Amino acid sequence: MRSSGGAAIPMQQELKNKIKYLVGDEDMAETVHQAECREPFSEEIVDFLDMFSRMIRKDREAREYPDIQTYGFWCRKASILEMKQEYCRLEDRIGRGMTFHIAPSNIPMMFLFSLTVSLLAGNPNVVRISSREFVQTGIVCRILRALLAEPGNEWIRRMILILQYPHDDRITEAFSERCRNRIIWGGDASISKIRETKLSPWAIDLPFYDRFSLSVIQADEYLKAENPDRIALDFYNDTYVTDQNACTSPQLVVWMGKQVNEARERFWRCLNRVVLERYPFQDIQAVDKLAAACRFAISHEEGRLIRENMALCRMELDRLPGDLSWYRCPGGYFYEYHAKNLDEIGKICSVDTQTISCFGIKDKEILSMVKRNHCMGVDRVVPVGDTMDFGLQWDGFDFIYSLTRVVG
Amino acid sequence: METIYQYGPYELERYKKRDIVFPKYKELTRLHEQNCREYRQILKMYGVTADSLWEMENIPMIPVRLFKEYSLKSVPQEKIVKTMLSSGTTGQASSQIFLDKDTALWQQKALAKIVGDFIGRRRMPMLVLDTDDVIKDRTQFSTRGAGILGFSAFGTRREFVLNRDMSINYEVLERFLKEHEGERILFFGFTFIIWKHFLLELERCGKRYDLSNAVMVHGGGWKKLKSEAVSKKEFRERFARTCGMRDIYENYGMAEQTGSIFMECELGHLHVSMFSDIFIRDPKTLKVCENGEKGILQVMSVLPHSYPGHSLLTEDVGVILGEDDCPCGRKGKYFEILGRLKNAELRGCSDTYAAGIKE
Repeated sequence: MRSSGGAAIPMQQELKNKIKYLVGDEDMAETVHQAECREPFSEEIVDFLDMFSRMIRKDREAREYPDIQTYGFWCRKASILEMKQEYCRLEDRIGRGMTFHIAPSNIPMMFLFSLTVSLLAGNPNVVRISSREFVQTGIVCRILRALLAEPGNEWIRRMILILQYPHDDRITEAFSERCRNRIIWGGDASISKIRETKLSPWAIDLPFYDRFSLSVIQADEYLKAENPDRIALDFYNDTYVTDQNACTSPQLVVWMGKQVNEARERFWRCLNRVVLERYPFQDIQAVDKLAAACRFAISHEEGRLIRENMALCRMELDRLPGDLSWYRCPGGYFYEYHAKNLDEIGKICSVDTQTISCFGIKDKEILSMVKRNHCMGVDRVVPVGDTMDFGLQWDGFDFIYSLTRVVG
Repeated sequence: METIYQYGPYELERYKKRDIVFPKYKELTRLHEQNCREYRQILKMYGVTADSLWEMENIPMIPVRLFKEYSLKSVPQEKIVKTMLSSGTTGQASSQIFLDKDTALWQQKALAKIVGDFIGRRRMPMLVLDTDDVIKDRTQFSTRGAGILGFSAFGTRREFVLNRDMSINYEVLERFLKEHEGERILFFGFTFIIWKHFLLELERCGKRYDLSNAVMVHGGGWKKLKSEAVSKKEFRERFARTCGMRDIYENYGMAEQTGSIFMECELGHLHVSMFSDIFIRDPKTLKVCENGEKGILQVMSVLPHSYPGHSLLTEDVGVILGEDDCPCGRKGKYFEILGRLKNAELRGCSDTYAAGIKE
């Protein structure tokens, strides 16, 4: 049965009826995993994405959404070819097979990034998106459908199935048995739940679990910066824009250098101005943050809560505990610490540490800190302001290498 | 404590009350700071000590939801005589509140003074609009059970009018009404239970009883029946129409501050008694709002000695309507509850599947 890439047991009609197809149709549910794989960055896929990018950037409705435009810009031919530059020896690689994506419910465009990296690796795809309605989803699916319907695109039409279905393990299992790669975007609880369903023996899981991120700011460099407001705005975009609830959003700000007091006074003041101006604060967040602070205080001796207002709360620490990720709170609640050296950070970077965003510190210094301290975590080092930039490496995985196989 | 009980529950005006109760709140803060480790660490994190307090609104508050997550107490386990459990809404953990002998006693006394001010101090036959199941276990109390036991002090005799399956026991009801014909009787129960299992049931069966000589005290809100909630006005009108009952008092309170409840006067104003206090906090800053401004309700009580619950930030939205000048004549602040804070809707990478379950 495996010879064809898995002629799985047909899905029951009852289950198929629960599925809503946004791109593709019911027949494809049985055939998408049999679509041909391609080599990574194949010319026709890169061209297809470039065409998609153009349509997105031209579409009047799509132009109203910065997150759609960010994607549109990212999947341009020039941008993809630039990313391709970083790869060597791709010629002996080919896509592994169908990828089943379980997209996050709260970041509208994530499903599209996920789909795109798998296409670039050369694979057909089933993308399950959350039933939560986002305007963006409708817009990009409309454009994608139109592009796929154009003559000459039959080959790629067979590779893309985007659907929604209410929570049902049997449907998840049906696609899990058919796929060769399963990408789960979700918290620890979701991943555990999805892993209860069967996965075919020849498939792999790429789980994107709950992560903890932090920022490191060199105080003296910060004070020398020409535009401190710009840095505050960058930091705002890294945090408040996703309610400080994305895996990339820093929960902890570590200060380095000499003039830390001056720097942080200015930094929080600038940030506070942006927050008051832009952040849609929800009243319950006041209680959520106070409760988070109390929870932290109950199990730790070393914190002091500072709040200009409830939209921006921070907990000043005089010791850096290793369990901060348990005491996070979204929506503008930060731990803050003054470190004498980077190795102090290394001690708390565990398996869930994802992004370190820096200002005034070189990437290389962080990288050597990670190695020196044999850290289990830290998958990305980026400048403050770039935490949300999606790339072909994520959470320590390289999508192209992970989703292709080597013909050695 | 004795000083506080010397006065009527709604006797003192603002500054006189403050002079008596402020030292008490300060003392309670110190007591819990010394005897409850968790509370002490919270104060340290806030950067305050009991000794640094100089005004009512500085008395530190802790979020009421902490009682759902931690066993907070300020006395050794062997002093605990009762544990109260809050009912909570669907799917939520319930709070655990630990009472020692003194706290339990003060709760009872405070309740007597507060409710007595509304329905009179004379005891009367009492009909509980609930099932006796809720008071079976005498060491673990739900809010429902605790409320019933607390209010039983106002009854000369007590009967439960609902069966285990929440149907009306007409035999008990009719016998009780017959035996006490012409007397003033007390009805007590929980808003959503009274509505759903008593009034709607009477209406459905077309039963008519003359309850015009009854006084009813109810509270607890709508809990799991939010979608079936009716306005205060409709609640009163329907009771008046169906059984002639007009003497109805709603109260607002919580398991975390049993005893020092807030009773609604005939004008529909919830009253703060000598045993309690409230502040309305601006959600954006947690600073105290002006009267008339809505915000998050902070509740205070002089009763909790065995657990650090004397100053709590609730998740209810309220507004202070005035102070010392309610036309009903009672002194103190009076207010209104406007609802609950809405859960946050957040962006970011959250659970794909957990969210799916709720969809």
